[in-house]
Amino acid sequence: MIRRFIGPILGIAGLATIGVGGIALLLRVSSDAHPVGDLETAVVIIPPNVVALEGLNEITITAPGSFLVRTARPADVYAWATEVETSVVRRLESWEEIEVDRVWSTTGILPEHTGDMWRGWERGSSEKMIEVSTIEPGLAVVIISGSTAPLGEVAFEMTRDRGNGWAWPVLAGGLGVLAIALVFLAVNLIEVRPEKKEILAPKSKRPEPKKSEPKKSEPKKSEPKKSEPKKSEPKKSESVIPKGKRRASKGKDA
Amino acid sequence: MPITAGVVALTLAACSVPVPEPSETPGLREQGALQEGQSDRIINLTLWELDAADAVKDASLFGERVGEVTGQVRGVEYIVAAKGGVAADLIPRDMQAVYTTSSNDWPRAMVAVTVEPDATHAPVVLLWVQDSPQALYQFRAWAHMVPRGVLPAMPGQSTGTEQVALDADLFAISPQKAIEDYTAVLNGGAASELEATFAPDPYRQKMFEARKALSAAASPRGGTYTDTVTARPEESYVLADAEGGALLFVRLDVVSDFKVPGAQLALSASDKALLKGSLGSRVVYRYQDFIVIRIWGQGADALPVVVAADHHLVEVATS
Repeated sequence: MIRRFIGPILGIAGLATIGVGGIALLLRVSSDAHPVGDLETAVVIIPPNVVALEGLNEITITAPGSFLVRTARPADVYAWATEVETSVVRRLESWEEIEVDRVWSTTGILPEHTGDMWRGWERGSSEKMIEVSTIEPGLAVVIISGSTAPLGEVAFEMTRDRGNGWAWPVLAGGLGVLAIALVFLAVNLIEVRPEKKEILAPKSKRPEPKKSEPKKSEPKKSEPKKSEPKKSEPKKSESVIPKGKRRASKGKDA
Repeated sequence: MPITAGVVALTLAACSVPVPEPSETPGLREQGALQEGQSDRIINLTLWELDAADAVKDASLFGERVGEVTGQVRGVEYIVAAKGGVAADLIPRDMQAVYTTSSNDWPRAMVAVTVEPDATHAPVVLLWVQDSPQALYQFRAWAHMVPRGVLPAMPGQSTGTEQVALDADLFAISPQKAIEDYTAVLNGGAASELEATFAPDPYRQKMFEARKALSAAASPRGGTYTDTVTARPEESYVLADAEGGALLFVRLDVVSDFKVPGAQLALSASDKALLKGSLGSRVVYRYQDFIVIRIWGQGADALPVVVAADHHLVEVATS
């Protein structure tokens, strides 16, 4: 008896698992992310631990005019920036937003040629993409506006885990459970069929009524007489007798 | 229905992929404050400024990369050379070594040693200083290597050398004491009780010889000759070497005062060109000297030794 319920239960469980896995797959995020942050100052520092963020491929700076992109030792950059009003890129607020802190200073912007600590020099205008792989690990990136105007925007191009990595295994597991359920259901079906055959067997053993026997439509009457084939023979002639006459003949017999 | 909603809610919750957090700052592959490209740029810009001024013998062209005192020394050399004196020092363009610091503080020193241009000229030790993070490295002093002067092995630019405080107790003698003692020897002369604590060097030997000769010239007429040497520790720098010792880059003010009461002194044409005031019985020469002293690691038996030194005249006055 219990075996009869295993198939349906597994089937339901399999379908539910497939449903969960399917929904999870549908809800997986894109593998690319493009968080953005506003830059409200003319100098921006991107510390080396932010440059080293997992999955960060490119940094794009957008500014109204020209700007410099430099790299230097973090200690040098922070010492240099003590006299500059600076923004520091801190972390990812979310996959859409970059957290940028503004560090206030009482002095203005330094001329772009100051300092000798810069290891890398590049120029940009309007928009510049920096490949993270070109930045020496451990160095900070400094972006300096060509004017005193704020730079504008920093954007990251990132590769991320799409999430729900468990969805495929769950889906596969669900399909597996469903397959097992189908096997159980099939076995149940095979076990049920022989019982039906026993019931149907007597019917199939009934003698085929001959075409000339018009009484095929009255099996109930003929059944009790199956064991008396001799008595049935005379009825062959009765089969052509109309019902009303049969009654009359019965009356005569009586 | 509640089960379905729960499953969907759990699925949605599981979908949120956390943003990566900044981890520890990755280590720098090259710790030195100045890498080769950076130091090359500083040297080239300095030599370019030097060449531009040398071409027209005009010290007023110095400013951005050549420091004030160095410009003053070079300017005096132009005048002396123009008046028939010795030519301005030859500063070779090729460097055989550059020493940079790994320090995170300021001021920072950078030192370069030129190649030996020919058999008659010794290699030159050049000193640059960056006063603050925003400042440029400026060429502040130079000195020729003394004969048989040997520089120690120094850490490479990728790691940088440690810039040590003057009072550091890391060596056989503290840099500050070495500077004070050597200044005392210069002032005290060959008879100084500290004379034996330094290895012999031609710099002080020449100074003592000149002192002896000028004193001998002045004394028969009741005159005197004195040298007053004062170190500038605030403008001196210490770079640790790779052998446990250090190199001390020391600036010295030297005032040489020659006076003979009642006499009318005469000067060479080049000194006369530098003279401020009307010459009488007294003349005062002022020098901005630069010396490099090598000190040794703790436990070493060797004496501190001057490995490079130059005596740079900057002024001739009557008082």
